[in-house]
Amino acid sequence: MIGIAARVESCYVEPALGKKFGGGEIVGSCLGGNRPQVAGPGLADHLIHHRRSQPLAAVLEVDPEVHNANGAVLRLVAGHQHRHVYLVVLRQKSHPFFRPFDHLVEQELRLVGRLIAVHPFFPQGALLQLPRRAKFIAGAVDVQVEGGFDGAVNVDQPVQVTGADGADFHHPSIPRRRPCHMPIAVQSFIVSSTALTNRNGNGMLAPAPPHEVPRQVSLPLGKAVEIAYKNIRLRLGRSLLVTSGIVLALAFLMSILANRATLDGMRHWARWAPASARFDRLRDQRAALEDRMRPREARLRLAARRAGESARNQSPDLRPLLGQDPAELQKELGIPLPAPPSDLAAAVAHNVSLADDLRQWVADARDLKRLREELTAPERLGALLQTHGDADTGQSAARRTQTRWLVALALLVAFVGILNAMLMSVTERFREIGTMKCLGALDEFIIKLFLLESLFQGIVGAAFGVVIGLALSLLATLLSYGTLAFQDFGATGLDILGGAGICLGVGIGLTIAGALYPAWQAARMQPIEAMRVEA
Amino acid sequence: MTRQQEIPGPAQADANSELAEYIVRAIDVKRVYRMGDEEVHALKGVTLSINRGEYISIMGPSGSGKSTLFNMIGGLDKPTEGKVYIDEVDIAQLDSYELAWMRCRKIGYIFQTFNLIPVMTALENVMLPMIFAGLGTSDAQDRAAEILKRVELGHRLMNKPSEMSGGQQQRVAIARAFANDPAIILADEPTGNLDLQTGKLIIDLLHGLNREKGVTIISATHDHKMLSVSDRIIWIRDGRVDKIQKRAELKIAEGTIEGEGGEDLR
Repeated sequence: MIGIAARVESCYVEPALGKKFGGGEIVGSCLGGNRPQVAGPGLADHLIHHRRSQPLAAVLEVDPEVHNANGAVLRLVAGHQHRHVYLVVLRQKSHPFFRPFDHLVEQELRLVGRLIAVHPFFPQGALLQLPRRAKFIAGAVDVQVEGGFDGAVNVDQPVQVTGADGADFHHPSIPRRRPCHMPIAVQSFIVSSTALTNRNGNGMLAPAPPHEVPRQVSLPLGKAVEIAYKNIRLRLGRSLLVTSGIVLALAFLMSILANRATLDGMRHWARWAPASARFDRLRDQRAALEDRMRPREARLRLAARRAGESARNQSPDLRPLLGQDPAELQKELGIPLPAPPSDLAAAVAHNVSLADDLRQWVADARDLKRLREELTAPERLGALLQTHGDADTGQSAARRTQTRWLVALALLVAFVGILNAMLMSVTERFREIGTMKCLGALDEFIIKLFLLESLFQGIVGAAFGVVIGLALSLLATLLSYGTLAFQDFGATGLDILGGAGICLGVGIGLTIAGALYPAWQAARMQPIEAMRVEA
Repeated sequence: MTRQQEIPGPAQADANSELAEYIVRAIDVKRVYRMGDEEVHALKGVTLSINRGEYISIMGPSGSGKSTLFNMIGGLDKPTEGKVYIDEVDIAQLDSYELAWMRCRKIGYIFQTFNLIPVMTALENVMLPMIFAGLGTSDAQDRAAEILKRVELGHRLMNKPSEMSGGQQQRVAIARAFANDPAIILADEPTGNLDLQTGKLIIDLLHGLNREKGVTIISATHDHKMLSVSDRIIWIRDGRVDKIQKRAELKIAEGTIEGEGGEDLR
């Protein structure tokens, strides 16, 4: 009845060999197909659930009439050489009022195996997952059914254990408690699968060994961080080398991203700024200013013409009034004075109140000039973009592809650098890793160690790369475009921040990716390496 | 084969009733390495039992399978055939997590090359297995300092391995091996890289700890000084147990071993 196959596709229930034992014997046949098969006459029970996703699992229903006791004994059919073996444990007593069995899942079960599922429709069934070492056994498993709902225990009889050869073996150790009248069965299972390994020659189960071997679980993150940090410090030279590779690659990437962001910002501004509300406002301001200047200008011109004839020979000077040379002032303002300076000077000499008019006019003309410059800034920027060849033309698409290749290449070089450095680091530390494994380090701990080491380098390198790349890019833009580059910096700044985020992500991702294989190699290493004595 | 069956062992008569007496049992252990197309039989069927608290030396020429057996006993390698029980647990049945637990709590390793973690101080080196065992940092610190004091390194807690002499490093390694109160100490040529005088100190220290804590010490060695403190000496030759000597038998032959017999120990 016991079969051994690569996987258990289905299990079968056979009526208990002896009902008096209070336990059903579940014999799982290992068959290749998906379809349940009847393994022989007298199989009253049947497979009720078969999980495709977990081909080793099956929920079985036991005929309550047949199995009228509460303990369950399973005959396990193991998948030969398979990682996991699932046991099916059922309650035996039938009752019209099935109680949901949810609490069972939450119970901390004293198991060697792990409870993996409680079937919602058949709440009395539960799937157990045994540790891998159970793989060697295709025979009986000792299942002690100990608990019960509300603390009651449903075990009226000693649990029956059936050896592989059918020999029976009593387990008197199970405590008898108050029988449970509720139809809830097993609360916890103790599957002492180590007993299986101690089977002696005659098929009987030897008593469980005095010590159960727990599983190592400790993965001290703090310690890993500490060791990784110290290792970086110890190998600072190489760390710097690796980090500088990352810095260079990411500085390149960052400068390109930042460049693109600022250029996009500038192009956008040059194209769309003249249509914006701010520019409408500037235009209104300009018109108001011009309106204000016009009467003053007319008044000055008139007075100048009148005074001009009488005072032409006196050749008075405007310089004291304006504080600078009139010719220079005209140049600075970009527009001529309302009248020739000598005439204006004569008019002011004739009528002192005109001095205020002239001063006011000069101030307004200065404002006007500033406004005009601001209004023409987009056009000037557009022209600059044209001269620098950064205008958005068809040819820039080709250049972008080229840049992309260059970036990819730089990143690849950095990646290979990291990979190489980490591989070296692993080979150098073979004995150290072996020693740690001898001291109880888990594979995951070793992996964590190397990934962390790489991560630190990645974070530092990427951060420096971003800062350097950004600084270089901004400097270059500043040199080419001056302050015009940052007319519309809000949106550009956001783009640059996004670029920096991308760079950090790429840098960290790259270093982790580069460390994955070396870390895996280190974790795979056998602790025996620690013993090796090199010449 | 016949030889293996007459292996002496105090508890052999009632082996079935007192399984726990043995800390290590090897039953017909064979180990085959595959090198290319060739099969190398490193162990050809070794059966032996080691009692709790014993001080055992495994001796044999290089290539005799001594290291293979040693690794097997230490749970570092699995036999091709046969069974190795450490504290009555068949190590072949353990998964990697359980093995890690065993290495962490049950077995302490001492290496010929000391194998301290270079970036850590003596104290941190001793703390490491405790941290792996889940002990809190401050508790681990206290315990590690205590053990280091026991090996007379109380004044060098904060020194890195590179700042210590070989003998001091090995003493840190011993302290580290004892960190989690293991049942077995496996020492692989613990005096191999040390000078005569320092080696003697290390052996005395191990012997003292063996008596004090009742821990089983199993050491692979070439060092004759080791023999005089061993309870039993297991001689391996050509992948089999050649002979097992008790100390009492050895005492008589000690002169020979120290003197003219020295050559064939190499």
